[in-house]
Amino acid sequence: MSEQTPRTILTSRELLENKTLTAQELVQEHVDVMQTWEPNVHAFLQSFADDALAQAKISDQNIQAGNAGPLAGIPIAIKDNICTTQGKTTAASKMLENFRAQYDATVITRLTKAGAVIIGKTNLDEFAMGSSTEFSAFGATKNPWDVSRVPGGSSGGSAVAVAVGESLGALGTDTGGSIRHPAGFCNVVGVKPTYGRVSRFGAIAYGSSLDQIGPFARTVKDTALLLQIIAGHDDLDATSASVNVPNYLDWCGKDIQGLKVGVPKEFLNEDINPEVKTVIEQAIADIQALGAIIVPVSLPLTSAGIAVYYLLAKAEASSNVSRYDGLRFSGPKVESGNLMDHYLDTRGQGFGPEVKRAILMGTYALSAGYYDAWYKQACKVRTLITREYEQVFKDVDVVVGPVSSETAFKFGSKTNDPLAMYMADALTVPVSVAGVPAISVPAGFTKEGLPVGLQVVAPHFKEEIMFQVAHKYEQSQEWWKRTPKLVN
Amino acid sequence: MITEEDIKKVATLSRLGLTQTELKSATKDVGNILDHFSAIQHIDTVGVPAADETGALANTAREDVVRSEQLATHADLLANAPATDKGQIKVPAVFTDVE
Repeated sequence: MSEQTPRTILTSRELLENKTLTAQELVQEHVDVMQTWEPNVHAFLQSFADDALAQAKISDQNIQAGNAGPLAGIPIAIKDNICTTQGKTTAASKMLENFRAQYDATVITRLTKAGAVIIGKTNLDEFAMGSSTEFSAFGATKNPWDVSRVPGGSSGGSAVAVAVGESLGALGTDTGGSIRHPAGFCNVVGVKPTYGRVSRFGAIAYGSSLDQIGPFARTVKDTALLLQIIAGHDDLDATSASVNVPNYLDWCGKDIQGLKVGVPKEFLNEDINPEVKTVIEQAIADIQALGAIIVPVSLPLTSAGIAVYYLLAKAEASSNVSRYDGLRFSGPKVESGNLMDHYLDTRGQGFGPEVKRAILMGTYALSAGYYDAWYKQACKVRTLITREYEQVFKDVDVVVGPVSSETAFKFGSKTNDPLAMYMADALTVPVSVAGVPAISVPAGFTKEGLPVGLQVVAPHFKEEIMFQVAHKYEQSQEWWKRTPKLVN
Repeated sequence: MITEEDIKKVATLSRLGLTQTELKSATKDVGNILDHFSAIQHIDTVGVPAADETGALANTAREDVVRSEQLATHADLLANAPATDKGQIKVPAVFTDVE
């Protein structure tokens, strides 16, 4: 456990502004950390170290000139399913191994406009389908708290990059828990915004009615800053909301006296690891000690979440990956003669096992004769789950619980049991289905030294309340300050 | 119960090549998963609209104008295609004499 308080985006910005540190020094520090840690964790698929240092020089000029943006000089890592004109965008798939995006995702444009320095592209489960980063076609990322364990997924690389200090912030995508889950496993903060809060333009689609790009950072306040910068309507994404973006930073520090915090009994059921339960119950007690009113609530459709989520996500995914034909974007080299064989071979070789399962299950659920019973039924239960959240938020301001019923699992323990892998997301998927925002914040450790994340869920477009509660809780504890030690 | 025939059918529909081993394990896995998910059939959804019909965000439109930042050269747009010919993407024949 590190003795020093780790750097955050906000504290680093202060050091840059008062000239204690230059942006080049700051970015170099992070490039050095990448050098040290990458052989142990493989969080990155591509490093942009040279470009980052050149960018940092420009940041220094802007800081000197007094016109630095809110993220000037800050190294940020980007999940490799978000398009950048810099480098490649592979989605951790052989299918896109050499793909170079012709445009930047809107979130990238917004970050760079704010002065951020993009330090590299991080590892993920292929096409964001997975909960452990084991399904990356380019090797798994390791959990820095115990390298025999997964970092969670699918945004494992981004979570680890922040956890070990390779970057001060990162972007990931969350479709069913892919930001919150690895944040919880790695002792960092991760946010899934309300569906439509952040533009998906440039995010390689997995489940188009579920996907959201969101931030990772060490602290709640840092993620509030990042969300502030990337959120808001985008003409280029017809599903992005025209809802005003509040000043999220202003809400970090507000008192939570009298706020109603719901604890759904379904979130702390008998399947939960007893140590996780202990940590979460303590976190709830700590929140109560800060003046919040704890209200037992019930979300009976929580257990239906997995089926609904996976039917929708895999159906949408099967449709989204049908564009990968090896003809417009290159895929693996195949020697097929006719068009059909070309498709079968390219897609057969280019996709990994989880993507293939997704395609098969999704296509089945959408096919004639099965559509009503599977996909359409899932769409209807989705309405019921959304109503359940809307209803509970009439009685409470936020809902809390564990991000996961278990801590980081061992490599290989679920790769042969797809259903078990799906169940890892049981507590994050219902939130995604309803489209409401949620944050994972460090809440403690088990006896084995594995992190536990607390999930705070807010109503649609009420991220400010989520930040308010999460920040107050975080600052009353010291969990976020713990950093993993390098073990050679 | 899902059969290998069912999986073969959807694999063909989705243009996905599967080895015999993959076919067998996919049949088992997808079957197992759908068995587990069949519980949602018992949830009463009579009169409940499908989520995409709840009208949250509908018919979002914008002016059909090209934005300069979206312009790319022909070369840029073809850069990722593995085979091109005279500025077009080259593909295997779609219609052939064989069935």
